[in-house]
Amino acid sequence: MPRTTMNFSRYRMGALALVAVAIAVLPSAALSATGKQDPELAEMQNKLDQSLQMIQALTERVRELEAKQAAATAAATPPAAPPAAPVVADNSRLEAAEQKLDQLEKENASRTADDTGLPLHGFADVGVGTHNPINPALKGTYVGNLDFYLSPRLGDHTRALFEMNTEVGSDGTVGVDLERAQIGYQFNDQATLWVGRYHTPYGYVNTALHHGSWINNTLRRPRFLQFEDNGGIMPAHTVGLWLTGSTHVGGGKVLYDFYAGNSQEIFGGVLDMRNAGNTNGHMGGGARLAYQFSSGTAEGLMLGVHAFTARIGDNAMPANATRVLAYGGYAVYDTDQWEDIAEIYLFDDRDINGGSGTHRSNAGFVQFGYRATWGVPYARYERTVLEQTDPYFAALEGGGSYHRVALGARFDLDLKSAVKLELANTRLTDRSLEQYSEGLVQYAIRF
Amino acid sequence: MLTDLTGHRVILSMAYTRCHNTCPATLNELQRMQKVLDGRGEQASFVIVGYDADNDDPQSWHLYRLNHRLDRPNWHFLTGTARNVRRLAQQLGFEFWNYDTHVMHESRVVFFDSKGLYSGAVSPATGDWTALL
Repeated sequence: MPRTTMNFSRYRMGALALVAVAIAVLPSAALSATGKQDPELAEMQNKLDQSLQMIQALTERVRELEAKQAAATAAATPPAAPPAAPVVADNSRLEAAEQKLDQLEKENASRTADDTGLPLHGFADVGVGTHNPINPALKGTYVGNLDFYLSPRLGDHTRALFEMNTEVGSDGTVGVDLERAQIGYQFNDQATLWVGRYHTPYGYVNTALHHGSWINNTLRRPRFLQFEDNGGIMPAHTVGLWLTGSTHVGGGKVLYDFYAGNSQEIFGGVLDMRNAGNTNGHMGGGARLAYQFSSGTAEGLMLGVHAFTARIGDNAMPANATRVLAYGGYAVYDTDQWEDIAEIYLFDDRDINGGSGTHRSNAGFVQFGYRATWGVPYARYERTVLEQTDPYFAALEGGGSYHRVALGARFDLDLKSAVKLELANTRLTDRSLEQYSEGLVQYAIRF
Repeated sequence: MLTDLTGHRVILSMAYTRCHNTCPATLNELQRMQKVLDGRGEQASFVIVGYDADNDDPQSWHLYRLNHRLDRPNWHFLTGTARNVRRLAQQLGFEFWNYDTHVMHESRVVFFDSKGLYSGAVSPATGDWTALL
């Protein structure tokens, strides 16, 4: 709404300028007319009358435009507005002012739903497959996510990002999650401090992709990097503070992240990020540091390291508590042709309550994607070796080890919709020794 | 630089070379505009200004043009200092900010007539630009 106010003010200023013109011009015209009771004066008076009529007409036009704008549901980004109406007295200049107002009228005509001051983007997907891509026990057609992504326009320094996601659970029920709710202060391009619920900055995928499937070239995230309620083993979300930024160094950019927030807890086998705070007051946090090459042969390459730690308990009886320490690195090669990603996570978890000591595990994936003219074919290999005596992984529903090979392709039907196909083979390697193959199709859109 | 284009209609948008989602879609719309103008036998200059001053250097734009087959001489890909890019963006109503490895931005196209006067703006993602062309 402030945008609307701004525009109204601008238009009103245009009208006021015209009125001011009239006020300013009339006395001078009158003075110049003093003592000249001749045809020249009559002509001047006539011109002034014409001017006043035009001013009145233009003022009416401004009112009309204001009324139109007030009626519009969309409040606006002010498209680089033309300057206020010029301060003029003669007809030709008034005509120029009229042209300016015509421009304003065009602006109103071209104003679109996008110019709302509250950019809202939506993403949705549905699919069919031999298995559900998240829960392999389910087969057939599935409804995926309906994701709304909002980044309201605020002041010069305040930023906000909200993401509401509607998804269907394994039992078919529909749930709505406020996946991201973060408000931040951008000091400059080098530093922004966010507060709220954000995607935990580790690796590349977790912050590069949101919940909308369309934005992802692959049909789904690596299994171990899925969101918490989809079986992920890392806390994809943190509720807390996050300082992030980047700075130009050499031929590239250094990107950094430091964050701290509520320690996650495990309820019913699923990580919970404790949106409202936790009862034990424990904190978790971590850091990420990356270098993005911006020139030379390495242009498009980004190399990074990351670390995360938190004291994570569960609701078992008696409750377990683990000091989770995850660290690792990642590499991304993202160009017009290639989208190659590799991430590795090493776990060094310490059992706090059970006294079973320290447990080491690892997880990682490597993915190659090629942006061809006809689509984006990709191949991915992912593997986890998760220590089952680690109370952290033992408590997680998705904490079993596995290998997966996936081949797929994305086909963009138009600018806003894509079909993705994936063939995958998954082998579970500890909790059960099951192996299954999947053929999946996803139809994803943005709007 | 922009003043060099006076005398031509100018269709201006902003993009960045690392964007693989919104920007290609916007440029695709610009190409559609170009086709409409070609059909009418009309001339215009297309100007794309880089959001990411650190990365959108002339070499990057050159590669981008080649990869996206945007090599017509009336298409100009410009780069500038971060400060100047931000100033221009503010003046023309392009809002953007950096987030992680991305630039958060909208899809927007601004139209100028041959005298360099602003004639309108539209979001090609949701709006109809035909009236402004």
